[in-house]
Amino acid sequence: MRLAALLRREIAIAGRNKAAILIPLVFFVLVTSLFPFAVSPDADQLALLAPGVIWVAALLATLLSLEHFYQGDYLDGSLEQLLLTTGSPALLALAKSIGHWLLTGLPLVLVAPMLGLLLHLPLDAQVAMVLTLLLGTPALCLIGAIGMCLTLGINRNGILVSLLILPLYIPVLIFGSSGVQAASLGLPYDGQLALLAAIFILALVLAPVAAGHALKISTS
Amino acid sequence: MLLHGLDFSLPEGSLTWLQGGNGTGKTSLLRCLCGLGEAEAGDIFWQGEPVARDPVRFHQELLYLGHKPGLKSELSIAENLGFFRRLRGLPVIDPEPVLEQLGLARYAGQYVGSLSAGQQRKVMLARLLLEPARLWILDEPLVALDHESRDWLAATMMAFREEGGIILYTSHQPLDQVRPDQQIAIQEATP
Amino acid sequence: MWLWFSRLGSPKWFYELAGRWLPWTWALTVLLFVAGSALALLFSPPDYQQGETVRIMYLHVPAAFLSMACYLTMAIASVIALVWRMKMAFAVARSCAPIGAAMTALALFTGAVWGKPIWGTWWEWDARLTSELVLLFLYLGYIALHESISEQSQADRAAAVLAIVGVVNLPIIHFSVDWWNTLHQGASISRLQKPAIDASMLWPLFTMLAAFFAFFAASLMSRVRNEILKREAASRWVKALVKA
Repeated sequence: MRLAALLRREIAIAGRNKAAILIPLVFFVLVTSLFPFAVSPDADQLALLAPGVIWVAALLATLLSLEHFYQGDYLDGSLEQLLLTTGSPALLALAKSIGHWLLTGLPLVLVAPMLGLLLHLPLDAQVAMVLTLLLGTPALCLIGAIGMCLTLGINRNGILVSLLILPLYIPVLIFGSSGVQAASLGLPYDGQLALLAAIFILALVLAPVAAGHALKISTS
Repeated sequence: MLLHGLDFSLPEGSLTWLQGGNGTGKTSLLRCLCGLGEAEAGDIFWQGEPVARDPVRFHQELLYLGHKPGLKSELSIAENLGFFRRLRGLPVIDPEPVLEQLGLARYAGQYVGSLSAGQQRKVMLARLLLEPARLWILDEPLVALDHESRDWLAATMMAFREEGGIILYTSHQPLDQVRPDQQIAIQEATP
Repeated sequence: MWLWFSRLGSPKWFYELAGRWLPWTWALTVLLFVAGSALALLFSPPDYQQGETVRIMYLHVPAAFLSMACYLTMAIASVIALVWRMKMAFAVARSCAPIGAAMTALALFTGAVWGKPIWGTWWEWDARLTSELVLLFLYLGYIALHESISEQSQADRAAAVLAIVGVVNLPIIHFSVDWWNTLHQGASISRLQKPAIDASMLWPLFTMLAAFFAFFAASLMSRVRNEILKREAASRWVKALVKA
């Protein structure tokens, strides 16, 4: 129930600040649409690159949107009040991650098929892309929360967060993009989905604990 | 900043004034008591039980107001106050009567971001009457308050003490209308 | 046991003990390195496939092994530090990081030098080398986080959480990189995986491994001593030490 209250709060704040929701989405679309310029507009080449490009762009969009969801609460002191009124840092970290995913991860998943079209991704691969992103982006939000919470007190922490978190994102990226690749070659990709699900569940159980601990350290 | 050799208890229905110069660690001590920040050694007990054993229950009964108001500028006064009640698992109530006392009633629907620093501090203080707690820890509650609000705060604190509430506060200037039951003074260590 | 544990937690006690052990450990390190190098360079045969280049293994394998062992040490020290609030363990964890990063860099460098004659390129996205590269990023992240937080105890605790998160992730990263590698490269990596090593190569390798571990112990002790002086600069015994 506290979780529900925390989520309502996140959504209410985001509702007043719609730009913050739109910016990661625009970033996602923009980065992806750079590749035809950088590589070639040739459909075959683009289809080959598409899984990796879309996954990397989604990953970066998630990473860059982290700051908005944590830094504001840290600076205006509401983070410590949330810690005090809920009494459970892990619950707070979980709520923040869920809120972050609902407001950034989920929209990314919904926009991704459009980018798939732009990059000439075959239809089977489109389905795989949505499924891998659905399992992968929540894991990205959960893992990213750890890095963000560790660096809250540091000025201009954006690059530092990337340095801490990107190595941890590698497994999600590997299984996510290879799932889409497999689908575009007509191969089964349920193995990749299972591995992504395993990572997601592991992150769901462990990451809020670590991020909650990090929150306590950063607010001390 | 190091504090050591501290041992005190806050009885029910009491007001304790924590004194000390700048940089003596008053804020650190208060935050430590709340569970923001860890003591290197020592324990905090609440009603005879170590706080660490049941932090959720302790936090239910604690209200800490610090230097930052902890309000979201994107939300209105009423929304901000409502969310704090909801986070404690309580139904939302109309904050109007309390805001009325503080002269904020007509701003209730306004975004906190559009208020002055003093008004934001008052919104923060309104939580004292909107959230049931048994222990108030107030760090410099007088900052940026006008005379009427100071009187209001003093009266509110006295009333809370009458009901058996416990207050621990720091303040540079003495709160005129309030006579603390206990004073704790932190002194700088002599080298 | 408990007494021993609490004495270990005392910086002064550790400083003095490490000070007494340090010359011996360094002496052992030099001895093992001389012996190991002689065995590796003079008294071991060249590989029938790789020729003389196989001798890089005597540096590469111990460095790679130690880079992992060092991360594990760092993570264990971090757990001890967070759970028992032991300040000494924070100093140990912080001291592990630069040594581990250097070992990882050495493993990467020797891997590249080895790869040039064997694979014909300086860099191959081989599973082990890629894992080492990620490990280097993890070390750099730890150091960067620690350096970015100015308050000592906050930096210690935040970096400790990161080290623990890293050690939980390391097997997952390693598995995923392995999986990815077999998917894309097939059998091309098997050239580095030697099924059996002849005894004539095993002894030099073991000696070098021991030398690296002795070096780790010695440099860790030196670094922890420096950390102690830095952290306890305000204490009476350090001031007395500096005066003397």
